[in-house]
Amino acid sequence: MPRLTAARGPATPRGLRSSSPVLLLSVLALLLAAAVLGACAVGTEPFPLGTTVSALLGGAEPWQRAVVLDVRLPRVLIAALGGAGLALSGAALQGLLQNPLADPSVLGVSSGATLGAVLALYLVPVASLVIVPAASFVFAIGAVALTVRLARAGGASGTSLLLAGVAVASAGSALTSFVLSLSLAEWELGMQVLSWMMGGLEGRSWPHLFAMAPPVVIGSLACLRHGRDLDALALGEETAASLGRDVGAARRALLVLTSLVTAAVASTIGSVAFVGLVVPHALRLGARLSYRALLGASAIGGALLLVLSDTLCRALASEVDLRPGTISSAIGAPFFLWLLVRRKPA
Amino acid sequence: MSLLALEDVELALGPRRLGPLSLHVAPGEVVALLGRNGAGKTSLLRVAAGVAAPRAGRVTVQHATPDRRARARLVAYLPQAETSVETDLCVRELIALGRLPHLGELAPLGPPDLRAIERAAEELAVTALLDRPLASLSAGERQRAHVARCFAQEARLLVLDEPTAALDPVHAADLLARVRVHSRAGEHGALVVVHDVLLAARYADRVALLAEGALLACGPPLEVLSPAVLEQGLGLRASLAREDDAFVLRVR
Repeated sequence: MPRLTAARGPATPRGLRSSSPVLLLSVLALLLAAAVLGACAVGTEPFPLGTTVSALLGGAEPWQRAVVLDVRLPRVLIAALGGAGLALSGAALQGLLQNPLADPSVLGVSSGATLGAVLALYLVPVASLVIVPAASFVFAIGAVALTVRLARAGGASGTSLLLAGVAVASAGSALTSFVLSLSLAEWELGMQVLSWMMGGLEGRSWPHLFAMAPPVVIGSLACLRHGRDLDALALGEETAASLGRDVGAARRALLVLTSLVTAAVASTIGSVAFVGLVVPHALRLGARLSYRALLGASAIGGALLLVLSDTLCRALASEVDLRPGTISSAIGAPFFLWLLVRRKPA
Repeated sequence: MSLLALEDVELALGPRRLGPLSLHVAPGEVVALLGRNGAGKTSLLRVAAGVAAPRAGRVTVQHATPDRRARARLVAYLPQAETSVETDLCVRELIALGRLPHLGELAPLGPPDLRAIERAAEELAVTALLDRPLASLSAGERQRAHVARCFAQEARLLVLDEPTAALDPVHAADLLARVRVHSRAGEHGALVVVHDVLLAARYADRVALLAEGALLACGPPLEVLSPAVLEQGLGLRASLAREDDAFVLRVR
C-alpha cells in the first residue's frame, strides 16, 4: 500500500521499523501549528489571520488581544494537550496490552473521572470549576487503582487487566447513571450533569490548562522512554524479556503514566471518545513506525484532531451545541474506515 | 567449557516437579530436548533462557549469572508459537528486533546491526522476503524469519522451543540443518525442543530426554536412545539405528 511517508526508499531503513518518522512528524507538527493559529482566529467574532497573529504577539486592539489570549488560546491549548494525551495514552496501552481495541478508557479511568465529576456536581451545591475537576481526577485514579487491584487477584495478565477494566468501567457508568437520574429531578442540575458527561471545553481557561499541563506533559514524555519496550512487546512478554527488556517495570510505569495523563485530561474536559483509539490506528495504517515515533506522532495527531473538532464546535456554537467528542468521532470514524478498506491484503 | 550449565535445577510443573537435574550445552553443540507433552520441556527451556527462575539449583551462562541485558546478548530465545499482534510487521522489522539487546535506547540501527540482519536473513534464506509482511508468509517461511530474529541477536546460545512444530518434514529438516550449520560455524550452542526422534538423531549432537520428572537419558542419540529408553521416555515401542548415512526408526 502507498505510505504517508516517503521513507521506504532504496536505502536500508535505519530504524526498528521501515518508515522514517521525520517527514511525518514534521508535516503533522506544521498542520498542528496551522490549526492552532486558525483556531485562535475562529469564534463568534472571527478575526483575520493577520489580526490573530498580531494579537498572539501582543499587538492588535486590546479587546481583540483579550479574546485571543484570554479566551481562545487557553481553550485551544487545552484541546491540543487533551488530544495529545489521549492519543498517546491510547497508542501506549494498545502496545502494552497487545490489544488493538485498547484506548485510554479501557482501564476504567474515564468512567471514574465522569463519576467523580458528576458526584461533585450533585453533592456540592456550588460546585466550582475547581472542585469538579479535582473530584474527577481523584475518582479517575481511584478507578484505575481498583482495576489493577482486581486484575492482580485475577493473575495480572493483560487479559485480566482488560476484564477488570471493563468491570470497573461498567460499575462506574452504572453509578453515574444513578446520580444522573437523581439529579434529573432538578432541571438545571440535570443539564449540568449531562453536559459534563458529554465532555467539552466550554469555559475552560488558563487555570485549567495550568492544572492539567504538568501531569499530561510529564506523563507523556515519560511514556516516550518506553518506546523500545513497546517495540519488543510486539513479540510477546517472554520474548521481550529475553531481549533484555524489564517487562514488569515497563508495564507498571506505563499503567501509572497513561492513567495519570488520561485522568488529567478527563477531569478537565470530560470523556472524549475515539481520539485515543483511532489516531494511533490511522497512523499505523499509514506508516510503519517504531513505538517512540508512533507515540510522538499520535500525540501530535490527537492534538490536531481535537483542536479541529473543538474549533468546529465553536464555529457552529450559535447554531447548535456540539461537543468535540461528537465531531472527532464524526471525522474519525469515516477516515478510519477509509484507511481500513484501502488497506489491501498483502 | 560449557556455554550453558543447569546444575541441580529443580522446578515446579503444576503439582509435580522436575529435577533436580543437570544439563550442559557446549559451544558448537546442538542438544535436542525430547519428552512427551507435559514432561516439562518448555518449563526447562524457559529456565535455560532466563525468562523464568528455577525453584532450586543454579543456571549459569559462560560460568556466570548475567543480568537481564547481558543475558540478552548471550542467549536468544524463541518461545513456542511466537506470534506478533503487530500484524503489519515485515520480516526485516522482525529480524531487527533481535538487535534490541545491542542498541542504545535512542540509537538507530548501525552498520554492525544491518550486517547482522542481512547475515541472519541469508543464513535462513529469507533475504527475498525481507519486505514481506509476516502475515503473508507460509508457516515455514515465517518460522525461518523468527529463527533469523534469534540469529541476528548474535547470542552465544540459541534456545528454541519446538521451532519445527508447524512445519512439514522437509521444512523441519531444513530448519534444523540451518541451526546446526549456524552452531558449528560460530561455535554457538543450541538447545532445541524437537518431537521427532529421527530429526533429533540426525541434527543433534546429543539428546536429553525428560520423563517422569527427571532427565531419563542424556548423550549422543545412538548411544542413549535404546529401545528401553524410547519406550519408557516416549512410549514408543521402537528401535533407533544407523544404516550407512541414514537414521532408521523401526516402530514395532
